Formats: sequence, C-alpha cells, structure tokens
Amino acid sequence: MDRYYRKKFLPLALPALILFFLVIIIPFVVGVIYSFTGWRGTYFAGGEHFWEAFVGFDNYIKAFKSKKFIDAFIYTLKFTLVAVIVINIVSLGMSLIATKLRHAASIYRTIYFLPNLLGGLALGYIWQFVYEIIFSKILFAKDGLISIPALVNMTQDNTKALFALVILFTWQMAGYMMIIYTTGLNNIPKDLPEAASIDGANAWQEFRHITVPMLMPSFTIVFFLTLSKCFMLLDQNVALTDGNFGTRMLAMQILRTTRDGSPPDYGLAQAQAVIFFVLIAVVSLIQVSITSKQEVEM
Amino acid sequence: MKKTKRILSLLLVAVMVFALASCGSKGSDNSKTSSTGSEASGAAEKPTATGDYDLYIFNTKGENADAMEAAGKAFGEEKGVTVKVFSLGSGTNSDDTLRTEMNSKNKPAIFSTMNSQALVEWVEGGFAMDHAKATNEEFKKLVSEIPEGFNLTDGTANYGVPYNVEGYGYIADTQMLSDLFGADKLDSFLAAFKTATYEEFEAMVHTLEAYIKEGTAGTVTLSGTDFATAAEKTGKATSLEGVFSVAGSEKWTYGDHFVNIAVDAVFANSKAASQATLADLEAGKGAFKAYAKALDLKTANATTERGPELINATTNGYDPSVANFANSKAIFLKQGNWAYENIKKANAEIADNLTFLPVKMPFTQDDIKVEGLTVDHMLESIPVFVPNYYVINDKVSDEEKELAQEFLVWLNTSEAGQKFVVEDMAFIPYNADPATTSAGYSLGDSIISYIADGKTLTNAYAGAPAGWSTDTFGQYMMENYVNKTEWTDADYDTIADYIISSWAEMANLS
Repeated sequence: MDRYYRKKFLPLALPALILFFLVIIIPFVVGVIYSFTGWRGTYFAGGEHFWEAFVGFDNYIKAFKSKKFIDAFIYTLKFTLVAVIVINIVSLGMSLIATKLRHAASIYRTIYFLPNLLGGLALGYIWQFVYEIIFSKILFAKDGLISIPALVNMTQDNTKALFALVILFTWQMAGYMMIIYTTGLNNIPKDLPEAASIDGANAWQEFRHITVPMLMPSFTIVFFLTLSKCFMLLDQNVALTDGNFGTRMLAMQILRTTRDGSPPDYGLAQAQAVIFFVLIAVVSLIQVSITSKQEVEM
Repeated sequence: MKKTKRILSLLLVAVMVFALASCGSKGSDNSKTSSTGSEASGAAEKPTATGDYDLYIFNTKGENADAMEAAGKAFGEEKGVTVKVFSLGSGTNSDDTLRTEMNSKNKPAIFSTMNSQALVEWVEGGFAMDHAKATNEEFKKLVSEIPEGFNLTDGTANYGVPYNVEGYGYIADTQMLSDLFGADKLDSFLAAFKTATYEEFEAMVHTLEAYIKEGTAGTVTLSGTDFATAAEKTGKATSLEGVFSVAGSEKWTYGDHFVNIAVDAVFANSKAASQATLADLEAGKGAFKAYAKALDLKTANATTERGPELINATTNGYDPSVANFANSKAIFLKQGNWAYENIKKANAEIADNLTFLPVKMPFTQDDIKVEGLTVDHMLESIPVFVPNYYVINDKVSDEEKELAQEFLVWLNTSEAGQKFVVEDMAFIPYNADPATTSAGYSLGDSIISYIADGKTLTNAYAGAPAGWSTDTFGQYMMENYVNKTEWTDADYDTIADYIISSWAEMANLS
C-alpha cells in the first residue's frame, strides 16, 4: 500500500493541488497585490488598471493608524489568550473523564461533540438568547434564582462580552478538542503508567511525567487549532455582539471595513487581511515549532 | 524519520493557515474581468450578441421582486426586447452582489443606489451616467422634471431617477386614540396633535404615562384644546404598557431617522448636509440638544423601562417593537410606511386604522438654521424622501443605455408603467399628484395627505458621512445613554457635542 501511494503520488494529489492553486493561491496572490492599490471593489481609485493605482504601503500604514483596527487587534489577543487556555483545560479534563469511563463512553463523547456541528451564526443567536433571557432574566437577575451581577447582561459590557464569547466558543470547540485528546490518551501504551505506579508514582507525577509528554503531539495540534480558530473568530462575534461595546474582533473588523466608509475601501480591508494572515501564520508556526520540540518519539 | 515528520507537520500547518486565512478574506478577490469595460470592447461584446437579454435591471428592493419582473416583461413585450430583472431577497444587503455584477462582463444597465453618499462609489468608478449625457428626449424631459429635493446629485451633476417616496413619523392606531379620547374627538385630536407645541406634546406624554401606569384619568391640552381621557380604560387602552414602542437594541433607532429631524433643522437637504462645515455643525448645537431632549422623553416612556433591558436584542429588537405596537401595548411607534406589511402581519386588524403623526422636538426659532423654515412647520411635518434611485450604467453599450432610458420613461410616465408602480409595488410615485393619487393603504395615504398639505421635511441626514448615523452615533447613544435610567441636563450637552465632534471627525472637518 505504501509503495502504491509513493508511486502514484502525483496523480492522486493533483486534483487537490489544482483546486488549492485555483481557489487559494491565486486569490491570495491577487489579494496581496490589491492590498497595495486603491481597490474600491469595482474599480481602482486612480487608474483603469491595478498597476496605475498603486499606493505603496499606504493601506498598511492606514490600518496600523486606525483606532478601530488596533482596538480589534487588542481585543482579539485578549480573547485568544483566555479562550485557548479555557478550551484546553476543559477539553483535556473532559477527555481524561472520557477515557476513565467504563460504560457509555462513546455516548458521552458524542454528546460533547455535538455543539461542534452547529454553525457559528446559529450558535451566536442561540447564546444571545441564553445570555439575554436565561442568564439575565431567569437565573442570575436580582430577583432570579441566584443573583450574580457578573452574569447579567453579559453582551452589554466589553469585559463581560469577552467571557460571553469564551463560554460560547468553549462550548463549541471543547468537544472537538476532547476527541483529539482522547485519541492521544488512548495511544499511550498501558505499560507506562503501570510501570510508573509500580515505581510508586502518584497520580499527579504520572500525569506530569508520562501523560503530558506522551500527549505532546495532541497538544501541538490542539493548540494550533484553537489558536488559529480563536484568532479568526467571526460568525459568533457577529451574531452575539455585532461588535457593540468595543467587541469587534479582527475578522469582523476586516469584514466591516468596506462598510465603514464610502466609497468602500477594499484595498484597506485587503491590507488588514494580509496583516491578519501574517499574524496568524507567525503565531501558529512559532507555537507549532515550540510544542513539536517537546514531542517524545517512541 | 523524526526530522521528516517535523518538516511534514510544519508544512501541513502552513498549508492549513494558508487555507484558513484565505477563506477569511473572501470577497476581496473579485476577478478582474471588469477592466474590459472600455467603450470599444463594451460595444463589441454588447449583450444582444450573447442572446441573453437586451436590458438588464438590477433591482435592490426585494419586496417588489415580482412586480418588477412583471414590469420588465410588459415593457419587453411592448418593445419586442428581452428584459432581465435581477432582485435580491427582501432585507438583504445588495452592495456586495451589485459589486460582483459590476465586475462581470454582463453589467446591469439599470442599478440602484440609496443616496448621495452611496453614489460616490459609482461616480468615481465611472458607472453612474450623468443625466446630461442622456440621449433620449423623453428621458431628458423626465429627469428635468424631478423636483429639486428629490434629485440624486454629487453636487455638480444629476444621476438618479427616484424609485418612489416614503415617509416616517409616529405611527398611531386611530382606534387606540378613539378608545383613549372618545371616537367623536378623533378628528379634532389628530388635527390638534399636528399643530401642538412640543411642551403640549411633552405634557401629553406624561399624562398618558400616568394614565397607563397608574390609571389616573387626566386631560391633555393640544393646540389649546382640551381632550379628556376616558375615566376607565376601555377597549385597546386596557392592554397599554407604555406610550412609545421603541426598538431599543437597533442602532438606527437613535441615529438615522430620529436624529434626522434635528439635522433637518440645520441643513435644508442632504446635499447641504454633505457640504457641512464645522461652523455649520456647531451652529446646530441647539437643534441637537432638542433631539436629545425628545429622545429622553421617548425612551423614558417606552413599553420597557430605559436601561440594560431596553437594549436587549432578544426582547427589544425591531420585530418585538412592531409586535408591541401592533398588539396595542404602546400608542406610538416611530417608523416609516415600510413597516406597514410587518404591522399588518403582526395584527391585520389595525392595518387600516394607521396614521402618521409628526415627530416633535423642542426647537426654538434660534435653533433652526435653514432659511425660511419655521418652528411651526417642523412641528407639523413629516419627512418625505426618496429611499432609492435608479441609476443608468455608463459602462454598458449605447443601445442598452438608450433602452434603459426608455424603460425609465415608460415606468414613470406611461399608464401601464404607473400601474405597476402604484398597484403592484405599492409605491407612492415621486411625481404623483397628491390630489388624484391613492396609495391604497392607510400609511401611504397618510403620507400623501402630508404631501398635499405641503407639510414635508427632507432627509438631510443622508448627507452625513457614510456610516455616521447608525454605526457611530447610534452605537454611541445605545452604549452610553439608552442603557442608563437617568439622564441629566449635562447629558443633553454631551450628546449634542458628540454629534458635532463625531460628524466633523468623520467628514475630516477642522
């Protein structure tokens, strides 16, 4: 089988490569070119063709000078930091439970995976209802079940909304990450923890010195997925807060740039998208190279 | 092995980032087929050659998709040409779709734009055809007869033919007013309301609020005439929860049409507003403060108490506000005639009893900076404006441009065309004679009566910087004031100052 794949590598990979080239590479290159021009969506400001409308790094300078872009950038960083930590703790915890279960483990896994199947917009609106009605009126209001002011009107405050988004996104992503961790945990040979316990290691030592190093490949992929997905959060942001109370994140900022002025500044939006790409690429590559160095080869 | 694996994983990561990030920037990479739109090649690939259509109309109003389709077909049969009509679903933002169409080889010959701010893009890109370049004599006559305030202009040339006119104000259910003040008083109440001063209006709101909340009967004085509320709540008045139904979570509730009343006091029309100087804006401070006071009154007497609850999107969005009004929980709803179908859907019974009343703000003659405009006129009038314009695309073939002109003439002057406009699209034509036109529904007829009386205002806020009214000012009001129960006099000042500073900043004035 291995030889078959090696021999037929090109014909097998070609369809995917062509598609990737057509729908990703070409638009990407065109997009990068447009980010240096006065592209307005249907025409170039300053000329018939793009080479007549070059504005140099103007769009990039404008992006970094824009308060909206900087605010969105900082908010995205804050969100990503909190969300990556929370999602990883929750999903790892869930997978540790899942692997310890003797009965109905697959049902448990399925249930926690389900939220991941819902679309981001639908989720955003569902959670808007949860925050605005169930949290704010039924559960945590002054005359509700228990009064917790921090959980009331979570979408109407910059900081509270950050945690509202984190809760939503954890709910959505943790199940998926749990599956990856569960697979990683199941791949740890049973004799390792057995040997450790014979040597007298306690549960924490076993987790710290056996589970964590053996789980490193899973950490790499989970960190990568959560990190990049948090950075690129869009649908949930639009549906839940619509950027009100300073909750506009980077992806939404790019999307809305063309609506912030007239004529629509697609060149500026594209420059922001390129910055966005570089940012995610750099952060992800650093993260992957760090975590993969920690991986233990068997 | 270890090394190859690591390289492979890094490569995989790079590919994934690439894929994900590229998806994030979709819509920004429209293909470049558009640059072939020069005169010569445009004529060479004129649509008739493809056999698809002779005239392509891009219709942005989803509500009249069927009527437009039928009108296009009727025109096509009359002229022996094929007309292609494209409509989006109602409520869909058409900008991106229109831009995509403009980038394609088959550009629409007639497209739409909302106001002079949105027009900039199409003038700059060379898409909008200057009416001075018109070739059809009848079309020249048609556009020369468009009333001054209804023109779509960039300051130097005219580009648009109005779809129709619309209007807005406080929508009231006459049955509700009859239940409150007695059916025999209805007509005199409506007449007195229109001419009442802001102080009388304010006192009326407080009296009604007390009547609704505490059941204390009272007397309201409008234009000097007393109207006593029924001693006991009867009929529809029993279900009242507040004086106003407010769509609190919608940013346009505070920006757009409500602030427009104050902008109207400062600028004669949207063209004047688009040419505003910092001094003009600062001179408008009195009017902007009047706006803040009127908004205070409105939001403090809504069906929902002002505060975080009022900006809750689930309970105080657009739909709930319409439903509250339609189900007689509030007396007034600030909306336009476009809300008619939604009100009717929520409660068909009241649809025939609806009428517009003017939105009042406490202006003094000093606040009004528009020459010839009086406080009385502002109190009695509702804004009547053109929500959308047909624009002819300069980048299509001359034949198609000619056909586009013929179509617009046919639609706006011929009997068959007007039938589609008035009956099927339920539009009030911009060139309607108020004496002979009937909109065929309560709110439309109410607008016509204001036009007949000459009691109309303009839509000056459309000349504010793009994105100012809703996304900047409306958002500011929602995040800083509407979520607070108490407003102080100092707040009125701050709000007025913010209107001036944010507008000036976005318009690059100093």
